[in-house]
Amino acid sequence: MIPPWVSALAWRTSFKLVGWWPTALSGLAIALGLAFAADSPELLPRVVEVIVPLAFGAQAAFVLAPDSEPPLELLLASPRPVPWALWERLLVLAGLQGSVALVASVVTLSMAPDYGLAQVIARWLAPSAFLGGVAILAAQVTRQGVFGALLATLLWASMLFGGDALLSRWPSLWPLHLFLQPGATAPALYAANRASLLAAGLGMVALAPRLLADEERALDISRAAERR
Amino acid sequence: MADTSRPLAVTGLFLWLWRHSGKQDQPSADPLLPFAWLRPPTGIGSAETVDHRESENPFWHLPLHGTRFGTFLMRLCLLAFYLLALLFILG
Repeated sequence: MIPPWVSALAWRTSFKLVGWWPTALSGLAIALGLAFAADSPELLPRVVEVIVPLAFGAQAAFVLAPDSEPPLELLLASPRPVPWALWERLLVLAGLQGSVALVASVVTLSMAPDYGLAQVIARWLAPSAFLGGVAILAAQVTRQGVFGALLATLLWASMLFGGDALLSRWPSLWPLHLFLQPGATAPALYAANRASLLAAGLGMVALAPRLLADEERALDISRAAERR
Repeated sequence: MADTSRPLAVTGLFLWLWRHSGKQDQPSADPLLPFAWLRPPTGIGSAETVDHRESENPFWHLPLHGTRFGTFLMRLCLLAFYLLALLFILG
């Protein structure tokens, strides 16, 4: 017997809207990256770490951005709360990108057995959660998915190339470094860095549906009234 | 009138960090300064120096420390986090 709340979920529609090709694209990029880095074991775990957070962040910005969602009024008028749609699409996206990342982690371990599975997963999970949170929150605040994707991309690039420089100038900013390497610091500090990124990312993800649940905000009624 | 104190405070903090991130831009007599992190400590008292630097900043050994390019990248990070903070405040 299927519980009634399960039939209220729209997984198939969510899967259709999230799409499979961005996931296939990130899978292809990871495969190419692993092939190129096959001769250098120190680079292998960085392939998944670099590609998955960017793919997840860029895609998360567009799961449900108010201005890019033509039937938003219909969604708001339906008995199903609109944040459900956001949660469903996010979970589908996390499932798709997470599956690719998990498979890639196992492949990485088979190519470089010196690393632990937990470490390889921690490398991509924390920055993915953080960038996903940034992207989806920015998309809800600005109502445009493109701003969320831009901010996530800017954070990704700046932290990938400049995170080490930032820490060498201000060491107390260690909770913010998305791509801190396990060998660069003490294991406890590394674990705390991963935990802080994960907590901040999940916090932002939890905040975004609350913004969407505000109907006046979702329809931009207050700003439209101000403009008049 | 909108409350401007928080955006102004965040902007002030951002500008302060921006200004102080360039402190290491001063030209040095040591042409190898950008690659100083590669050099192993040598000489009497070097171990003490390393311990001292390590205790002050556990990340002093990371690449790009003290280089102009490192400062540029650092400022890029600051800009990204500044935009994120503004988003939180104004949103």
